[in-house]
Amino acid sequence: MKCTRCKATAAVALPSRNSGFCESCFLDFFTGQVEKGIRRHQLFSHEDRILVALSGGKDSLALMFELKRLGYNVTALHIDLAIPRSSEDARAVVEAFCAKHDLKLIVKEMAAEGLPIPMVKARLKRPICSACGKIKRHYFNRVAHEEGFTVLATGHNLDDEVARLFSNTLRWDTAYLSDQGPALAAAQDHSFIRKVKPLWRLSEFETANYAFLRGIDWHFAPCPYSRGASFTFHKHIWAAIEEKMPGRKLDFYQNFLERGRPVFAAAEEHNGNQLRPCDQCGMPTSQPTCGVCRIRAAIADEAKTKT
Amino acid sequence: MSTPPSSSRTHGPAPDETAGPVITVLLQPENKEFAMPRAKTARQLLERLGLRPGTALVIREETLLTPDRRIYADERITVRVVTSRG
Ligand code: SF4
Ligand SMILES: [Zn+2]
Ligand SMILES: [Zn+2]
Repeated sequence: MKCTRCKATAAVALPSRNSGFCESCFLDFFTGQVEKGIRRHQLFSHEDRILVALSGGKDSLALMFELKRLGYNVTALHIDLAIPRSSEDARAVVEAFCAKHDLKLIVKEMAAEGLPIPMVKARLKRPICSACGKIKRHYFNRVAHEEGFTVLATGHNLDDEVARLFSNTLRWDTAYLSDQGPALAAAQDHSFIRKVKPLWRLSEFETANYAFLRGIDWHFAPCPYSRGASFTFHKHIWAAIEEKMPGRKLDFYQNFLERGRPVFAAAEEHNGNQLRPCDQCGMPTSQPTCGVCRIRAAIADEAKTKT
Repeated sequence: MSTPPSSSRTHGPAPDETAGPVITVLLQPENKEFAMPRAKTARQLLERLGLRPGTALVIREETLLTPDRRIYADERITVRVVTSRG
């Protein structure tokens, strides 16, 4: 296979885009997609102070690498979840990456915050991933707020977004359908910080190729609690659809943004939830005390009754 | 920035007594290494491993291979699965 742009031997085949690229044309293509993604939804500018959430996985590291390369003002944030082995490995990967590329890094330790994930898991009856996600988002917001960042960027890619959209659609979850997208305005997602997903045009496969070609070492051991996490089943369905109908994934998502979301957004304006600051931490919540502070209190209570 | 494909290796895996060309595969993220009968192309290799193209990187030394690329006897190929599996 030849590179679609320069006719050299291709290194990456992308049937979804009816293209194949050599290494250097692929890297150009990737940058072009990130820039287009930023521009189309006006995610941020070079004036912004951008906090980039780094899990240690390929997507977040690739995102950070590219934003730094494009000259944005970026700082890394890593949440250490205190999951045995897994969290230590992920943190080591993030620390090495930031040291190598001379990036500022903030690490928030959930053990120090009274929220080590294994304890949260032991305490909760619900699946851990929803609580874990909630805790991560809470600290993204808090750190961004406390340290004066103007936007938070995460490594979510097209596959993540489409799987989430698909799941929201299967449930006709109008609240989520009203504001899912590459940018969540601070006011609309009921938090202080604007959240953006600059890799929304790029598939997981494309991000992996990019990370490999940039020589990024990423953490790829799955979280021990990840069974049933993050829409794996939906991703399989979408892989089958995409194979039969190349390009449908990006179309589906873009058409949702253009035609679907505005309809849901208009409908949701009528029945929005009233938010106020949490009485413990001050983050916005519809309850007197926010979900994360309630989990923390439950864990502290249990520790007390045990002693 | 592309690296030329490596020339044939001089010290591949021990040849299988059951004859026929073999290759060595390093499957990631598990980091499992094993020998198997040579697949003719990267696409065939993925198929035999039960993987769709577009879910795994196929790597020779430091070079990425598209599904149509040929694979040679005694090569060592890394297959890195990069999408979520459930
Ligand atoms: S898989 Fe679940 S528990 Fe593990 S890090 Fe992700 S959200 Fe948290
Ligand atoms: Zn090219
Ligand atoms: Zn709170």
